Amino acid sequence: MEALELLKRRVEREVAARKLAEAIMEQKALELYYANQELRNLNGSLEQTVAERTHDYIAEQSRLRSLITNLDSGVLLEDEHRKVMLANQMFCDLFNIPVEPEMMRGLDCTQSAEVNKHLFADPAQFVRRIDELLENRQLVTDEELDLADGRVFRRTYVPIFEGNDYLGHLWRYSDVTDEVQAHETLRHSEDKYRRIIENMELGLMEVDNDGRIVLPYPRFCAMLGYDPEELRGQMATEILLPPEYLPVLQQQAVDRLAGNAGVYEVPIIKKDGNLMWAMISGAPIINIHGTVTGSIGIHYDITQQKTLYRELEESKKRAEEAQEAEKQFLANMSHEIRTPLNAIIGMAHLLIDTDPSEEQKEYLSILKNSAEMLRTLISDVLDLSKIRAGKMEAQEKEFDLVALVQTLAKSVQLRMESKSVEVKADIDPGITHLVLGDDLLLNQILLNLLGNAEKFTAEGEIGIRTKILSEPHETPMWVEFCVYDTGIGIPPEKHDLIFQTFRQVDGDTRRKFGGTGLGLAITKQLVELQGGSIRVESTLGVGTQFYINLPYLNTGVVAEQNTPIMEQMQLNSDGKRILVAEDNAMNRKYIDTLLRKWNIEHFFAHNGREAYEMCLEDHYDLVLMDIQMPEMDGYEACQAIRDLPGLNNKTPIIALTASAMLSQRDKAFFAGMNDYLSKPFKPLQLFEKICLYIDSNEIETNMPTPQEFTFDKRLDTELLETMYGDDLDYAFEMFEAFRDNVPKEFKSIQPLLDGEKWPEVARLLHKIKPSFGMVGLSELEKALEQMEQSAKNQPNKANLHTMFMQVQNLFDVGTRIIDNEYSKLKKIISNPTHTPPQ
Amino acid sequence: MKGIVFTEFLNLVEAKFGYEMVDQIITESNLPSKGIYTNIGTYEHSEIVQLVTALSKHTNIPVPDLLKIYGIHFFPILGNGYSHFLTGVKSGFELLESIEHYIHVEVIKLYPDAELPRFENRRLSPNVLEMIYHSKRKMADFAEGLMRSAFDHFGEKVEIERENLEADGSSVRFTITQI
Repeated sequence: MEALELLKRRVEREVAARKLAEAIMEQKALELYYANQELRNLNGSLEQTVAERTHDYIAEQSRLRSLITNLDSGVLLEDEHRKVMLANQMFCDLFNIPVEPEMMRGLDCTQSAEVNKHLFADPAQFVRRIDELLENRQLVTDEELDLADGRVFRRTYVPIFEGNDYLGHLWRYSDVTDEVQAHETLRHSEDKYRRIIENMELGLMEVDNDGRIVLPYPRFCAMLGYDPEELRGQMATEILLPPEYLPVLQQQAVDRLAGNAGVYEVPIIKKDGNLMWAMISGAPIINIHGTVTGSIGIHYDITQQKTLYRELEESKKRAEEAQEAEKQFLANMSHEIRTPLNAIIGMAHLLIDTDPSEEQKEYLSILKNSAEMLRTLISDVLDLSKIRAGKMEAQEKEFDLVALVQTLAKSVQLRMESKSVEVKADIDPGITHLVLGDDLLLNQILLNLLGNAEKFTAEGEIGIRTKILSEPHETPMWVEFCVYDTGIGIPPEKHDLIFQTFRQVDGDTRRKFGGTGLGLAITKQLVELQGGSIRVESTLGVGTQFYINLPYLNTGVVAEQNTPIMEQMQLNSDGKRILVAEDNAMNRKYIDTLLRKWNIEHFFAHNGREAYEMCLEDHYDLVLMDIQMPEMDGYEACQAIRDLPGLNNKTPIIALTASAMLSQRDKAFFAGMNDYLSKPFKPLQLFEKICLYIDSNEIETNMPTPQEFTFDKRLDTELLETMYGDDLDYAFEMFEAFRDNVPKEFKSIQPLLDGEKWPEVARLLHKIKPSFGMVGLSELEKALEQMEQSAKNQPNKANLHTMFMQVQNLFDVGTRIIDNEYSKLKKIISNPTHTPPQ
Repeated sequence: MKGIVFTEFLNLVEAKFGYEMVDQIITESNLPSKGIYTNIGTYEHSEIVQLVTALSKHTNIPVPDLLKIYGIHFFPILGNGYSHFLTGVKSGFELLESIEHYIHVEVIKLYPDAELPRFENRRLSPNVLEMIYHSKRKMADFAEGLMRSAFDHFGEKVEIERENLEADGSSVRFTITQI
């Protein structure tokens, strides 16, 4: 029973174990099934991948094969046993193989070199080289092979390895006969030209891109005294070039690398250390691939030319310096040359006054005319040299162009009254504004041209036409001046000549009409100085027109048809008395006119003593005291008056000093004067001073009647304008006074000079000097001042005589101008329409 | 633990002591598997410990001796079942030295869930092999039985010295000297 139970348990365990085992087995089987399934899938995808790869590989191979087949070179691919794997048609063609390339597959190539060697110019070398290449198994590209028939092949050998395993090799052959021939031809022609150049005294040198000498040609070496071997491999700049020229070469090197050629000049150091100047034509050397590999320079020895050029340059510089010095000299000579000439002319004048015989008079007249002509000539030469030395400059100032032209025309008209010539001025009505430019130069230019017109015109008409060339509002405004005449004319072939210095139409003209031949040259230069131009149109026997174009700036200021007005001043001065101490008649006249106009009662003393004596007698409300006077000067008189009891010791005294020098002013105050006024003073200045010291200062102004008058430009018009304004009556009186008094006084200078009475000369000069300023002869006033100083401080007979000649000369000219102005003024104020100002 | 260890153990018990002993130790032990084992199954390690302990109680043979005996008995079974591990192996040392880096690697491939002891081998001299056993199962006796049986298989005579490196027997040094 026990045993049965045991057995039963055992069986139960066995059965349970079997079932368990079966369950596990089933589980495992299932797992296995899935694993299998997975494996199958994996396998499937692997197969597909392999198929794809294989397809790609075949396609790739086919592409390569087709590439090789169609390559423009012959290709032969051999395996490691030298069996043909692939060949293309080109290969068969190159080596005359009469089969299809596909047929060659598998052919043994071990004997191919031997078979084909006859095709090559050097068969043995061909075979040797093939063996060598196969032995070395190294890539060798682009070997050139000469064929027996003259063709040239280019060969590349490519060994094929996979890792370290040698799998075979590839031959590539191409026929480069044309290329090589073209290259050869090019090289030949280059050689030819190089040889030509070498034979032409031109030295060639080739350098690489670093500037290292690659090829020094024999001629180049010979030029410098080097052997080619001494130069080859050297840096060209280091051995040949002075360091200071390095930047030139560096720039050239940059240009070469950019492929540009260039010509330049540098000195080159020869072997013996001397310099050779070379003109170098440099060009880049460009290889067949278009890359710059270096440059070639063609050297031409220009040492001689350089030396010559330098010498020329130096002599040119010397010549220019000499010319400059000459110009400076001439420009500075003005005074020195004119002075003795003035002496000659002056002496001639004096001699005429010594009652010479008729014959002597004729000689003197010739002497005087010649001297005057010489002076004109010298003036012209000096003007010209001044222009050329750049000493003459165009000044810009505002002026009335219309008035200038009209005045000029008028003055010509006056001169031409004796001739049957009409003078006209035609002015563009568009010129309504003051312009900015140089009026003096314009005046001189037009005067010169009008002078010519006058000279060469016996009858008919001369004149000025003025026309605006530019559009309105255009800047600058170009004005054309045409100075025309109906004179003898200029032959066409001389039109250019007349503007040249010292040229006249012909010698005959010079004899007949005189002149220096400089006038038009100066005129042209003056025109050009202002940026303008001049040209001439002329017909022989009919007339001449000079056209001048000049630029002016429009100031926008409307030109007054009349000269500027001066304020009319009125002073309430009832019962006031002024004493004026003045020894100069002109100054007395000037002050007299002004004070009368202002209705101020006044009295004159002719020197200091008289003033003092008058102050003893009467009371004055103001004293105007000249400083330098005979008998008793202003300082002394002032002190004397101040010392007087009663009457005038408190009277204000105003010094009238010749200059505003501080020393004089201080002296005046020290002497007890209250104020000073420097001469020449303007009416307004005097008026203000009087107002200051006389206790009534109501000033009334009214507009005076406008008068149309322009003073001669040779006078100090600015000064005259200030002094007289539009008060022409006053001006007329002053000019009249000058004519009445001054020439008489001037005549007494000569005897004093002859008697060597220097202090008297100085005093006389001092006295008459201001009179000249009053009529606008400022230049003469200055000359007299110089002479006065000279007579006072360092009297020298010869010097003073020379100075006087000059003064005399200025005086002669000046008095003529004054006479003329006097006539003009007289004409105007005697006109019934003229109303003198109150 | 692989099923073969259990089935072969119970086969050995039945051969030596009869199925009654087998039935007795299964019945006495508290086995999750209820003593139903197949070669291809995997079972708790504690079950073999319980079975061996029960056997020891009934036979009065100490557990280490039982395990050593079982090891000696088990080697030829492994040798038959997995003869390819012995192919080309010429000595016991060679076999032992191949356990860690060859046999166990292959076992893991077949039974990814197998928990195997780890060995550190060192040849102290050509005929002395030091082998250190590491296992939480503490079955160095079973291992020694296998070793001895292996050397018998190759007809080799060895002396095996044992030294516990850890008191609980989880680390044991075997020093094997060929005689």
